[in-house]
Amino acid sequence: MNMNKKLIKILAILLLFTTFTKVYAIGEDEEINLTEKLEEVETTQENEDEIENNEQETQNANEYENQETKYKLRIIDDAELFSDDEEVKLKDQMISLTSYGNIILVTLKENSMSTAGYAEYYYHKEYGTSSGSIFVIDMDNRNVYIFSDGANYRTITKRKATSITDNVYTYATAEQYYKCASKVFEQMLTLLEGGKIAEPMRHISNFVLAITTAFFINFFIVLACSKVKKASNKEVLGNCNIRFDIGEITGTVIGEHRVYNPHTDSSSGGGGGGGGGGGSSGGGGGHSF
Amino acid sequence: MIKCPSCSAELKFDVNSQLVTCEYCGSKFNPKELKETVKKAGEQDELDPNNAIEGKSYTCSQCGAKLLTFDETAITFCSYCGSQAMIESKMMKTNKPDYIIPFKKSKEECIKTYKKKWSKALFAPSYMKSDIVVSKFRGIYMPYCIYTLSKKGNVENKGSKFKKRRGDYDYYDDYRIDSDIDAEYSGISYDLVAKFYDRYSQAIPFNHKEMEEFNPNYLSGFYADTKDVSNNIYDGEVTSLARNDTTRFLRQRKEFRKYGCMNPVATLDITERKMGMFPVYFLAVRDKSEQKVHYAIVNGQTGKIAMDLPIDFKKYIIGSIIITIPVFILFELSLYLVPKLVLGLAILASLVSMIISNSQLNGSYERERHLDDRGYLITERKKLEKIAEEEIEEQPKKAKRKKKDKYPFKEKFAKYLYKQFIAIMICLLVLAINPVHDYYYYGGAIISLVIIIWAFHDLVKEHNLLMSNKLPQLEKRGGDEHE
Ligand SMILES: [Zn+2]
Ligand SMILES: [Zn+2]
Repeated sequence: MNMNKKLIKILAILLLFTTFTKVYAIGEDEEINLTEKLEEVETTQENEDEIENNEQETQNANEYENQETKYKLRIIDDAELFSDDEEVKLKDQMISLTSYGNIILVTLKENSMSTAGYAEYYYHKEYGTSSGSIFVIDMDNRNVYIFSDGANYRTITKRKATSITDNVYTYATAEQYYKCASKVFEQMLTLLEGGKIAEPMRHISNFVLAITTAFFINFFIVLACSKVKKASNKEVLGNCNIRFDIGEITGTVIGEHRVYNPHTDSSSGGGGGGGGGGGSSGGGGGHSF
Repeated sequence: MIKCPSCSAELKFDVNSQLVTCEYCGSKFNPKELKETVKKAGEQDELDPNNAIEGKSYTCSQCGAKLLTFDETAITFCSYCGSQAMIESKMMKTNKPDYIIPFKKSKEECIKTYKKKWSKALFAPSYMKSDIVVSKFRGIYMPYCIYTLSKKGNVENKGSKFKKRRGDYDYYDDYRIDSDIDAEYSGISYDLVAKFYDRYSQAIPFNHKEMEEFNPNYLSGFYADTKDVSNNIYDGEVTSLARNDTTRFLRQRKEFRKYGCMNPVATLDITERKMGMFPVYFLAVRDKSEQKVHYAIVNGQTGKIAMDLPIDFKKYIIGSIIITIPVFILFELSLYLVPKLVLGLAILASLVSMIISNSQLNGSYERERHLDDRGYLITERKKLEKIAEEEIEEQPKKAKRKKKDKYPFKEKFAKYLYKQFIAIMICLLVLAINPVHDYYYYGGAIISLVIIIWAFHDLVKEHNLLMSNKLPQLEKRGGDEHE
């Protein structure tokens, strides 16, 4: 009956949406990988020089190397968001993170890339795929972003990075950049030490979604159970006596007709699909402020 | 009424042994042989000399349903509306049916089926499970029209086959395909009681291969309903059902494809309409408001059940809260959603809820107008015809319009759908403003989801409406009040 068609429609929409959401969820970073890569290539040349200059200026004051692990620490306050005092405090905080991987703090005044693109590019350029994280405060895009790779990425996953930035972006909005960065490193350390960070909104929204889903699940169960199904034609006919004999069959030509069908080359189209994107490691998450 | 040949007490048909038994002296008889025994005894003039069966008739003063009994048992309640105001009248004769399918399932088996179905219905209200309610199951023989369709002779089909190509044109040869056919379909049946709605009767088909010549001995101890629909209203359905089925036989012959006919059909003519008495167990349960009845109907031959399963809203909420726990844990472990995605899911939930609600509203609109029940529709239309003879010419047009008869969206919107609409608008508004703070996204999504949960109340209410029937008396019978 009608309900059946409707149900199929609903399922189709559901399916479409879930695939969409999946693409969206992954896509945030994938998009960057694919579309931004091109831009990156063009813009890197210019940026590289700038970055190199910056490095030279700040190198000694804000670098550190953990003697045991050989992991490095670096602070580049391009947007001048921190006082000298704050930088020292942040550095102290970041030193404990070098037990797990490299750690970089970057603030940007101008950025021609996306925040995520820059974070990934910069980290890979400096430390390749070795363990470590980078936290970027991008004043140009008004975005905070955490990118991790190697062993660190196993703990500070994309999800966790998003959780951290969700928890701190309000400080950036309120221009409390030191507090913002400090909270980030605090939570990173908590995660790396095996602890848990608070994700209040995530829990609330998951809970409301769970209730809604439960209501839907139960309702679909009810619909499926209570349907009074009309017997199929096959069943109806199976219950009766059928006799069917066919004798001679003859075909007689009674005329002809023509159908307009212009000659179109029905060549099979379609070139091969493009090759898969180059493998990129690591990932992160961020939040606008 | 059949009496025991040895002691003249009442006889009843016993389903388990399939024998007619005397409750007084314990004698058992084969129902097929009993008639002759009685005749030989020669003492009975009660038996049907003029092709009629006789029984005591009871009419429901509330809904007008008429039931026959064939023994001394009095009918104390109505099977269609549950009313206890049954008016007894004198012996009544009705046309003797041609065939009968005797009860093969006992009342105990029927109750077992019913209870089994209930045990699976988690959210069903408990008032339908009580033993008093269940004991009201009543074995009734329903009058059915049994069709025989046949065709002997030539059947014409058309086909066309590609011949050649000239310029920009494809040329086809047209064929007339003659086939010699001898076919018969017998045993497609439809019930002839308007109140025994199609949606139940068509869910519990009978097996006509077990059909027997009518024998009144099978009726003793049971009830019979009276036919109130003319026996030709399903002609169209039967003809097209058989016609569509012939394709599967015709396709077995390669000739049809050879002449370019992919879907050959043969139209069969209705050659016979016989009447049969088929067994069902019927139960009507009034809901708490006393305004609706739920039906549970078990096929007395096959044991198949068609029943209304309403929802108890309280049980539904408790059940949903219980399910929430594992779902929440699952989400916590596997789901990480950015705030915009939560909003997107809220929109999706609103849409799904809206689609369900919409289809429910359409369903109950059809139900209210009996658009899904041919037997009822046609009987009503006949009544109309009697009132206004001049309308007859308009009937075909009217029938067409009825098919397009739809619940206007405006009314549906005003009734329920505005809720989901508001929920969607909230989400879209948040997306349009695109605020920085997460709290707006989560807030918007949570508000809309709460609205959706609220809308489940409507969904359940409407579901229960679909899972019930108006008390027959309320259905403005008689025509003068008709819309
Ligand atoms: Zn006896
Ligand atoms: Zn009644």
